Amino acid sequence: MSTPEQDLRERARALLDGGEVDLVIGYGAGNVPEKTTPVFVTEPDGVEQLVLNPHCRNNLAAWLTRKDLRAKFARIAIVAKEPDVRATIVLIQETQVAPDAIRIIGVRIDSPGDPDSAVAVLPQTTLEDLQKHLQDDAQARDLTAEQLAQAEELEKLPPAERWAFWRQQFDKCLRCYACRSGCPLCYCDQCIAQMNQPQWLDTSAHPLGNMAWNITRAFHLAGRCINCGECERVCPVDIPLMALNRFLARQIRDDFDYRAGYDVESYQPFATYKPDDDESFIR
Amino acid sequence: MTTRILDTAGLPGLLAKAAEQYRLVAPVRDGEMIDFRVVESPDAIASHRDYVNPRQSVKQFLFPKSEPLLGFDRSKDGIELREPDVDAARTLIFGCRPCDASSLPIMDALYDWDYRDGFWFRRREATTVVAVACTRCDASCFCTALGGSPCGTAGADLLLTPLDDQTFLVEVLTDKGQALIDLDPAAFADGQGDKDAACKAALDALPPALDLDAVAEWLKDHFEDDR
Repeated sequence: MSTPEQDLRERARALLDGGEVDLVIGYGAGNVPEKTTPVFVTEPDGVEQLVLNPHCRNNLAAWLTRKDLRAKFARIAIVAKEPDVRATIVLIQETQVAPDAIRIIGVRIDSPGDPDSAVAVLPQTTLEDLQKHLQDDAQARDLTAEQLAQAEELEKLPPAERWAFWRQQFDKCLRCYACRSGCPLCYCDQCIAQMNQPQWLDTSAHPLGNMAWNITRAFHLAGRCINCGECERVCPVDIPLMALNRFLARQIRDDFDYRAGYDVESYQPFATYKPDDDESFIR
Repeated sequence: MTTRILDTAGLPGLLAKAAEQYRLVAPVRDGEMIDFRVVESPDAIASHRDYVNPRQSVKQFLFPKSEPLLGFDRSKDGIELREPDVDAARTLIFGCRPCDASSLPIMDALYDWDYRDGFWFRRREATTVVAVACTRCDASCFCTALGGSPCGTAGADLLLTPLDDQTFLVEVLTDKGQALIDLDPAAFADGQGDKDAACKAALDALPPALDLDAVAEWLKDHFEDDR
């Protein structure tokens, strides 16, 4: 019986062999056993570089919007965990990625980072089937009560204490922007953090600018964040960014009955206008 | 250079005395990470056995993420510049690793290159560095590749090497280091120890030294290499 890693390599090989894609973006071995690193495979024999294990953490959908890759490779396949598939769906919704130009090799990692976690290649190969898998099966693993626990603990605090908590967390921020780099949905060519006429955000790693940056980023992801948790994982000073993102995701779910990254045809709550919207909150 | 022996039981008392005279900076546990913080009491300090390296370097206490560089007053007569108050409190950095300490002389060279940076040097002069040698390393460590050592003394005023669970070998490297010993002379005994043996596990696991001269030579012709 073949291992999931062999299955993955065969899928990648078939896509490259058949000329269906010019590039496969997947995970390769890192410089230490508990890390992997993105690899870019352009030849069928290169698929031997691909690995599939619980240490495959990066959300590779973040590479789909890279202009340098897009200029060079017309059709790209990515190895995508369930959150990465959701990110890809949002990128298609936002017309950042043309569905015809990509292929998705879906994988599942039951417990990311845990060396004993089971891994598998998903049998679904089309976007439609992957989407159905997400809706019918994977949704139960997304935005769980356990994942929401920290946000809901913070929600119970009096506002002054909650403010003090976030103030302390954001004071640690180095403004390295690793959160932005790791995020598949932070793809603006000109980020608000770099705009200087007007300068919306103080760019020095000062408590005021840090608060503005982190809150602005959370709001820019409201209704879009697909809960992959990469921003929090890559944060060098352990700011619990997902408490903010999940709080907003729960709000969107409860108020708009909407969850990001499950349906290419759906409209995002904050990118939609309806003449009959309930606007009572601004009257 | 003189050496002393410090009983680990005497360390909290020494640090408590130091905390009366210095702003004490040391590794502290914060959730999953261990990072440097200003501490009020030695009780808050994480044991050197619990970390290979704190999450961030000690640089932040000599070169803060942000600080006022100047002030100004505007009146009808024009603009008058004000010198900022440089926060250069007498500081003791305890528990950094030799790699971190060795960065400080390198930074000194940078900040005194074509202009002497008063902010950096005022804090540097007010800071005493007590490094603790590494008895183990992790897969990311590479000090030996660049000429460092898990028990290297560069940049430190005192180097503490854990000879066993009860004893530190103390190398007194500067007058600032001696001043710290003078705070509590009774805590220190005369003695010597084999620090290379204490650091053997780390030394064995670390990578070999790079030939830095060869790197410099190679770079001459490859600095603009497209590859």
